[in-house]
Order: sequence, then C-alpha cells, then structure tokens
Amino acid sequence: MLEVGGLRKAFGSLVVTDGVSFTVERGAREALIGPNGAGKTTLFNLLSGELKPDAGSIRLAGRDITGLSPDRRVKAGLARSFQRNNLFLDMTVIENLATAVAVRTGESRAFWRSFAGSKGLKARADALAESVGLADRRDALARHLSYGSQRQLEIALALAAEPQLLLLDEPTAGMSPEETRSMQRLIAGLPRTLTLLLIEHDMDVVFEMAERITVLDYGRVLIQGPPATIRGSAIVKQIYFGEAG
Amino acid sequence: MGSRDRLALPVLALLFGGLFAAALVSGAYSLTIVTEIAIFVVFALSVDFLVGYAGLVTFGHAGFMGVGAYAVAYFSHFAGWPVGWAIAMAVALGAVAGIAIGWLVTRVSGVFFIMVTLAVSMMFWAWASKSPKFHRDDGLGGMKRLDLRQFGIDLNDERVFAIACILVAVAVTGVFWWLVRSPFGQTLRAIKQNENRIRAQGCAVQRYKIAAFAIASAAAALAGALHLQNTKFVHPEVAHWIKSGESLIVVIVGGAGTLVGPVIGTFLFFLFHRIVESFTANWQIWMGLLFITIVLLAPEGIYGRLLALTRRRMRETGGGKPDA
Repeated sequence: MLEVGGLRKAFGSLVVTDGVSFTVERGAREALIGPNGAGKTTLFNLLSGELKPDAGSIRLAGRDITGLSPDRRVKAGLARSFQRNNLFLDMTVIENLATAVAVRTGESRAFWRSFAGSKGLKARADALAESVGLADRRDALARHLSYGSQRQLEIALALAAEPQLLLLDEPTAGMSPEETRSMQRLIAGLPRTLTLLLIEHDMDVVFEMAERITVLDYGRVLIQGPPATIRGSAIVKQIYFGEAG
Repeated sequence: MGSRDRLALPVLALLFGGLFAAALVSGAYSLTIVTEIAIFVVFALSVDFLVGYAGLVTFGHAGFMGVGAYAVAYFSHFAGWPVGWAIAMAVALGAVAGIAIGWLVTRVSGVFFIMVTLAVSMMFWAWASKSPKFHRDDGLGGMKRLDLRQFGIDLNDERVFAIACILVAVAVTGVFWWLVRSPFGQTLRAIKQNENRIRAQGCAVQRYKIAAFAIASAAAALAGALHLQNTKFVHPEVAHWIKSGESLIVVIVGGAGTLVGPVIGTFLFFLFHRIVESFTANWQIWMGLLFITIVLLAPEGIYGRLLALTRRRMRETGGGKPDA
C-alpha cells in the first residue's frame, strides 16, 4: 500500500528524517513510535505532502506521489488526522462533515445547488457522525464539543476523505482513560479495507492495536517488527523506555 | 445544517423597499443618492463575497470597478458597440481579469495579499490617469446610457435609471444569496475558517479562491459599468484605492460575512456622508468617529451584532435550539 524509500528531510543542519525506508501492506495496522523529537510527525507531514522531502520517494498503491500536492495525495487515497485538533470550529459537527464529504465527492464545486438542502451530503455526514459516536452531538458547534468529542470529529473528517491509507497522528493524545478506550474501540472497528498507520505515545494502545511497529529515533528507523519483538527488544527498551538492557 | 438566518430576508426587503420608495418620491438631489447607493451595494457585496466569505481581504477591488467602467467607455464610445453589449463585455472582462489577477494574488496571503491587490489596482489607476485616449485624469464625458426606449423604458430619466439600478442591486444580491448557500459557498467558508484542514480533505484551495475572485471581479466590473452609466463620465477615480478602502469600511461596519451587512453599511455611509456634508466640509472626521465607535461597540459589524443579539434572545426565550 505504502512504500517509502530513502526519505530525507533536514531543517538547516538538523536532519529530522534520515534515510527512512519502510513499507506498509494493504489492510495493515501499523504503528510508528519513538521518543519525542524522533521525527514521527515530520515523517507524517512528508507523507501527507505538507513538507517536501529533500530526497527519497513515496509510493501509494504503486503510484509515485512524491511530487504531488497535499490535496492531490488525498485524491490519490491518503488522508490524515492531526495531533492537535484541526477542525472548522464555527461549524456544527454535521456541517464539518458535510463540507468534507462535498470536497470528497466534488459537490463542493456546485454553485447552483443548496448546501443545507442536500439530502445526499446530509445522509453521508450523518453516517460519519454515527460511525464515530457523535450522532447525538450532530448540531453542536465544533468549538462547543468536549475535547474527546473533538478528537472523534478529527477522525471522522479524515474518514470523510474515504482514504485507502489513513495516517492517525496520536489519536488518543490528551484523552482521559475512558475516552482513550472509546477511541481504541473506534479505531479497532474501522474496516479492514482501510490501511492504518498511527503515531501513538500510549504503549497500551500501540501494543493492542498494531500488528507491526516501526521504531524511529533521531529520524532513522531503528527496528521494525511485531509487538512481541519490539517489546522484547533491548535496544528499544534502552532508547525508548529509558531502561538499561 | 447551515445557519438559518431568518432576519436576512425581512431586513433586505425593508432596505431595498425603502430605497425603491425613495426612488419613487425623491427630488432630483435625493435621487442621485438613491442611485449611488444602489450601485455601491453591488460593489460592496462583491467585496464582502471575498472578504467575508472567502477570507480574502482585498484592498484593491476598485480596480475591477475601473475595468468595468473603462471597458464600457471603450466599447461603447470608441468601438461603437451598442451599450448593452459593451456592458456585457465589461462584466466578462471583469471575470477574465479576476481569473488572471486572482491566479497571481492567491499565491500570497495575509498582509501580502492586501498589498498585492492594492498594487495591482493602483497600476490600473496609474494607467487610466495617463491614458491620452481617456483624457488622462481629466476624465472623458459624453458617454451614452443603455437605450431601452423600444421597450418603453427611458433610462435617461433619472428616476427610471435609479429604479433600474435598484433592480440590478436586488438581482446581484440574489445571485450572491444563492452562491453563499451552495456547496461552493460552504467550501469558501471552510477555506476562510481553516484553510489547512480543507486542503487536508483534498480541496484544491487556490482554484476555489480564484473562482471566488473571478465572480467578485465580474460583479465589481458590473458596478463600474453602472457607475459609468450613471455619471456618463469615465474618470480614474473610479479605480482609486480610496474606493477600495470605502468598500472595506462599508463591509466591516455593516457586518462582513453576511449579505445584509454591506447593504446596511452602504446606506449608512452614503446617508451619513450627505447629511454631515450639509453641515460641515470636514465630513470625513465625523464619519471616522462614527465608524470607530461602531467597530468598538460591534466588532462583528452592525448586522453581525444584530444577529448575535437575536440568537441570544432566542436562546433565552427557548425559541431556538441551544448550540451546546
């Protein structure tokens, strides 16, 4: 699904992504972990196109997307959620989602129809709200949602783009244990046709969700493998958990 | 879905109805104000579409009014086209210029966007001020109005012309009403609220901005064409940055991002101007004080404040659905 080869990005003399190569299989649940400053979000920004790499290539479903703008990558099937909530705060939940659906379907170009009167947009927005557990908050302004609900809306917006590959940037960041569990259920319930790559700090979430884990440190891939291998790896314990081997 | 603004239609009906009534009963002097208001409403709405909906704060939109006025002058006066075709051509040229300049200016944002739009419009102004064909900054008179006498309409009758301008203003308001309620208008709002997010949804943001710019430029060119029809005189002043500034003031004071706001702002601007002008030559000082007061008391503009107040009232009386 995703093939990353020799990806490199430097800000001045600081190399934040240093020759990263990895692949993600179609339908996989893959996690990206590493200590703060390891270059995880930078890697996401390179994948989603918000940053341009200095070198390397990104292929999505066999297609080279390295030179594509962020919006074209979304059209190619790659969507992301953000570490910090990034919503349309002055729109209701349903308006947030219907706007996203309109962009996905190309109805956003229609200037002769009514947005509010579009049953199609409304129905799909409703279904999305339902799927992330926001059905009862559909008419609330995004800014009035609780933090956990805003996180759910964040995921729903990414899902509205109908991606093949979804990048989730710390979906449970800042959540209460209760909210984290419900987010975990939400992610676990996503269809298998969707490939997931997530950054996550909560190790319980990582070891439960991910089938394979990639550990980044100083912008390099340190080790890659199934949770059991990562859990047992001395080098990971040393740099990530701060324990002596 | 979509904030239903039940106040907009009655208020617009009241404003345009009042203008229409004024056009019917006014004397010659008041009639000129009615016509100016109707024409400026078209211009102010086009600016609000960019500033209030697409979040593109332009400080050079009068340049497109200039394109409209000079295009009508050129095609009707020099090329000998029928005035109707000249006006249609002016609007089309406004749209084309909007696409070309929109393509250029949407590459930058924020303060740079403001400065580039200002610079481009002043380039047009500078050209117009030095064009021998259009008599430089003396301006060129003797323009003809659209001839509709075969339909029994004499636009050279100032009352008839005023009513025609009001009808155009109402029609343009209708078009923008339609646009801002469409999925396209909703996408512009989304760009204004959070450009980064809508791009992450796969939206080619710049294309939408250019489209908005082209639409607003066509409308401004129409306002310029009307202005020329009104004065029968083409002068670089029509494209001057002061006009761009006035349009921004009208939009912000009236309430950006609402279609009613610019109409209220235009009424206030012209009426206050004419009333104060009859007492003192320093009308700008009083206008300035009035606008500073309004912006301090109602940062969201007059109509924006009105909406906020009625929504709060509806919540208090339980008439509306709570937001949270």
